Amino acid sequence: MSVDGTIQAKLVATSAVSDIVGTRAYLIDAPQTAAAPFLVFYRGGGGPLQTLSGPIATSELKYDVISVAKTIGQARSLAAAIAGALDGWSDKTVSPSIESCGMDSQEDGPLLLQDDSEEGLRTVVQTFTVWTGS
Amino acid sequence: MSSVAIDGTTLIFGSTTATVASVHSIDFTDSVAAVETTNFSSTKAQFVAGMIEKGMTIEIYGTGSIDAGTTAATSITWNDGTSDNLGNMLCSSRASGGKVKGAIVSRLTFVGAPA
Repeated sequence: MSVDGTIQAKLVATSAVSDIVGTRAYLIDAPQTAAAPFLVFYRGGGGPLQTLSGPIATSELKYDVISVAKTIGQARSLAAAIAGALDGWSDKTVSPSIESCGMDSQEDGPLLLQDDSEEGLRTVVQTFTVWTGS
Repeated sequence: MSSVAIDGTTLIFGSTTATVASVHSIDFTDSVAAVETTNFSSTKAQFVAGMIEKGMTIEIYGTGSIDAGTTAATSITWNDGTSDNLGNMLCSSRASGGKVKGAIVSRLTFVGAPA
């Protein structure tokens, strides 16, 4: 499974998260019709460690997770549940392994507008550092 | 083909090439002591070459398997097509550490050893 898939599975398998979003944990793009609350995550940067002889199996990755809800309170509650799932998480049984995952930052994000709604959606953006192994 | 890019440079330390495969930094010094021979007839300060001293410091990811006190034949093949044969070198220190959300990094220092 890819790191993306492992993170998505972790989020959906965490009851505190799935109690809020169900299975609406989207990689990169959410459907235009996605019902709030939901979350979107994507790799925001990083890559394998580089040595003089090339990359090694260890990667340092940055992931952004965006919590989307109708109110800022709901978005923050979702963000707290996501932090509970990912901050301090590790799983060496998957491949590539999740060696560690830690939250770098959290901030209230921009208002998100959907085509068929006059009311915007509130967002909270979190950034995580994820170390993966072989 | 070669270039002055450091990537592609290889380090051999005895038979433990594989254990130093995660090298991401090399600093090699080849220096000689300047022995002063200035005397009353000199018109300027003058020196002759003394003992050659070779030293090397590398950084690797992880703790590796080279312990302080290990001696081995050492050579560097630089990516620019040149090489340095350091002869026997002694690993005189290894410092390993890191900080939260970072990688384990070890800094190993090598000094000349008897042939």
